[in-house]
Amino acid sequence: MSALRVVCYLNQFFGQIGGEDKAGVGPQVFPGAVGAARAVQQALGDAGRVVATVVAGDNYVAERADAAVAEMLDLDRRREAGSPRRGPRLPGGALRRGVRRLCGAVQDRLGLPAVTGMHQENPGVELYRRRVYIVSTGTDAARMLDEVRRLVALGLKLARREPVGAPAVEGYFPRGITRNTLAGATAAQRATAMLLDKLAGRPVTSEVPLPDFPASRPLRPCGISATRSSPSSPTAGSSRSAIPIGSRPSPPRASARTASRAEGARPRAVRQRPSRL
Amino acid sequence: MADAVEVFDLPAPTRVPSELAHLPRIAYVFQIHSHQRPTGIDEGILYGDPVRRMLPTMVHPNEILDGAVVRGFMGRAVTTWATQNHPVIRELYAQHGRTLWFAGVVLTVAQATEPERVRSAAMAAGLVADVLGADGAIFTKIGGGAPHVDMAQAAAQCEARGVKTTLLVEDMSTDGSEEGMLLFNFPGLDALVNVGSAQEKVTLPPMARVIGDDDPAGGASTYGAICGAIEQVGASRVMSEVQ
Repeated sequence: MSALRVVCYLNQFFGQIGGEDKAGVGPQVFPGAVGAARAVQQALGDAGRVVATVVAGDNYVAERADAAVAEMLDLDRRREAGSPRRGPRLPGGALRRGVRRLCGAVQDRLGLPAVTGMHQENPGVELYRRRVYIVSTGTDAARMLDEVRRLVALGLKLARREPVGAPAVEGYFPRGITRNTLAGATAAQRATAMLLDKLAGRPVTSEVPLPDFPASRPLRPCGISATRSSPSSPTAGSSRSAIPIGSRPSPPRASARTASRAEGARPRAVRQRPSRL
Repeated sequence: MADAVEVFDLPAPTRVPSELAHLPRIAYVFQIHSHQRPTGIDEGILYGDPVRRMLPTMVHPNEILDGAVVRGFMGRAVTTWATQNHPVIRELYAQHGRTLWFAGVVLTVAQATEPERVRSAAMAAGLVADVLGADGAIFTKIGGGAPHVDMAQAAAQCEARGVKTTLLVEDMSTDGSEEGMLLFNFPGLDALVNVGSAQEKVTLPPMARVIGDDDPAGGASTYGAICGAIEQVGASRVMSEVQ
């Protein structure tokens, strides 16, 4: 297998051209692995070569967004890259907004696989996890090498078009897409084991993600009724009833029927179980 | 001469030896037909009966293993082979007397109207909780998407009665997204196993010999088109994973 050619995109800090003072710097390309890209080269080993590192200032990218991304892609296109790779991010880098755009652009416009790293609190995760593989990274710079290894391992699979494993195994944020795989046991066996766990009070992981709707409080009625008729008006005797805005809807009829049937239908022995419907 | 002999021995629910009375009692709620497509007059499902308007009932699990139930003419993601070598029944038997007590099998159908669905859910939960005295129940469904609701309503009634449930669902997403996988959301229904996505595309390589198709060149297909790949009673290891 020939060595992959990799391009890394970093901000000014990880590209080692400066700190906040260099945040406004435009994109520059350096041959080979520079700054944090050296960790990527180390993780790649013989499997690939970082042919270039593109470095741009956080503010430059944040302020110019699409234009900056286009500039960086131009620099990239002038090389012949096999697979661009992004350096890991610690939260706080404004380049992160550019990073996800960049990954998307590299995938769409250059047709090359891209991968990046973000902390789970980064709002970019929720916005971009479906389009881009985002490896989960921490805030501790000492763990960076470990995270870079995960990033590189995932990137190699993408570049070689190998099947990618589950998010928990490969270390990326779930992308919300489903794929058939082969489990270790039949569904019947897994269900029996899961039920025994549930009965024993052991933690159970559903194979289908459950909807997670945040609890909300109903609005208090603001006292405006749906009809405007006054008692002396011609429509006063109409059958339309006023519905205060903000009132809660009544529970679905079916559950009300089944709840009463379950509770009243047959004599209960010692235990009374409350209906949760 | 038999190659192997397996013994399936289950006394009536009331005859539990006292030394095994501590084991959790597990029932299996088996949805055997979906009236999304009503049965024909000669479409025998249960002992040859077309199970039209069938109310929840019970059989001994050995009756299933002996062939009491066959799949209907529609046969979406279900084979008679899997039905009669029933994986849930076999697994409950494998664990019976060790980690659980196999309390029995309740048969239901997925109904075509909401009042019938509600009645069926209440009666099935009654059989599970009051007649079998189960602590937990495993549920499977048949047919397409709507039968998930029949199954979920029956399971929700069981949960409301204090019976813990696990459901085998099919990934019904039409666009491969995680949001489309699940067709219900009831309190307590948090232990879900999936039997894979029948709609997911797969490319079959060319084969020298093909059984059950005309074209050995293979090509684009779906998991559901491969007999036995997706089994609603849980016989297959195919599982839809969120990535």
